[in-house]
Amino acid sequence: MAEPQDAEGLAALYERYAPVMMRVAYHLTGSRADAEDVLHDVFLTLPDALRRYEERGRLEGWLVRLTARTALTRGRRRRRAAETPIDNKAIQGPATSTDRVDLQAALHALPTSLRAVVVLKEIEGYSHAEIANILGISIGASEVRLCRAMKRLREAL
Amino acid sequence: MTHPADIALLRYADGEHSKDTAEHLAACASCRSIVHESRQVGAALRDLPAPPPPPWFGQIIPIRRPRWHAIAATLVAGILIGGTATYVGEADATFAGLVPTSARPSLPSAPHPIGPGRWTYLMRAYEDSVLWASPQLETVTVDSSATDWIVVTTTPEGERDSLRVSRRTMAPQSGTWGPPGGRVHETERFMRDSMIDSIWGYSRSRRTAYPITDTTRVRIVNDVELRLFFRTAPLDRHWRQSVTLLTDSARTADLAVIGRHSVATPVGECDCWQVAMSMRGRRRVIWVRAEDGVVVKTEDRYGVTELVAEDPLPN
Repeated sequence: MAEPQDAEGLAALYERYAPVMMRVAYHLTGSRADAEDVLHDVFLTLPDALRRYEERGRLEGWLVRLTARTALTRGRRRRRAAETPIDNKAIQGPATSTDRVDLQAALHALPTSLRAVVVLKEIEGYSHAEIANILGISIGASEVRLCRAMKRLREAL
Repeated sequence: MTHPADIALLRYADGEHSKDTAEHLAACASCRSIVHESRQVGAALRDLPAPPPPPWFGQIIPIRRPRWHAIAATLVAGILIGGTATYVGEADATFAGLVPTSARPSLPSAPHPIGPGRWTYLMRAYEDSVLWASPQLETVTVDSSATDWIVVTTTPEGERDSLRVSRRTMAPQSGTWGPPGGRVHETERFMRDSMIDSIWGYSRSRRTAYPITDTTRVRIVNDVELRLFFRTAPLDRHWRQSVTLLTDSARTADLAVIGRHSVATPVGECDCWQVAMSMRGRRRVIWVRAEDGVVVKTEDRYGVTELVAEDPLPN
């Protein structure tokens, strides 16, 4: 049974950061169910992960990094297991247009390595240096991946 | 016509304007189209909807039991039995196991002179004005001998770190580190003129040995000792001091008072000396409460406010 103080603390973290973490997880996994699972996995391990947290950077960036890594790891496991999400249709907002659905489909069709950079750069607004840190790649690799991804998205539309 | 690389065009679309690319774009409709479409795709991506997170599922998350009760018992036992004084937490606790707290701490209303029998603190941290407290903070006990203080740090996992500090100079003399249930390793510090000439041992965070040559003279070896140091440093408007911090290597840090003003913290307004710490080009600003040397706020090079409020426990 959770202690009230811990539960309240995690709940406060959840209230503050879950929307951005959900957005990242959703765009990286392409599935609402998977994104919710990612969010769950991150918060399940958060009490232990926070104990190891020794960085001086912003907490949000660190949480996004955890989320991205969890989502990407989940994506790799899913590919190995040849699973297919059962709700992989695009989430449609109230003003969904055909272009938007096409773009979402094109985004989700990108290889994970390219999609991760697009999501973090174009949707979440991270710099290439931050993306390099999050994904464990070089800044140059981040730029090249974004370039390839944007070319595919432009062509798809 | 030679077209710029796609990366250059993307950088331009992203607002990183170079003169060469701009001149090329003025004359090349094809590249202008790429820049335009990239911006359109970027804007459309930012407009993509995403589902909201599900409701908080905290009830099903197993959480390690907080150690407040055990720590509180330690504090009381230490005070009653040993005549020692204790505080919880340390400057480099960062976010280890931090959870927000609804309880607002208060700084000591009266100065707490540094010394055994007088320290009883809970350390709190905050970021972006959100206050945090940790259920996994370390316990530090300060005991005294005739000439030294013995500062013992114990983690809830059983890791134990002790440090002997000279009462007169605040210089660390020797220490031990022991992993949970493991063998205790000793550190030795060889002093000259209140400065460490050489040290060999194990740091708690790195678990590695530090051979320090005679040419690297150390005065302060970690954040805890830096905090101790501020309790005794005679800060004034012209104060400056160079110290050496031991992280993964010995690094000289230049400390200098750069101002004095009132600082707002989650625990209230504090009249503080503002101290700049520069270490290998990295700058950190520390606000030290003028009346008693308590560090009430730090800000690192990223501009993140993360510590510090110290909260007296009843004793």
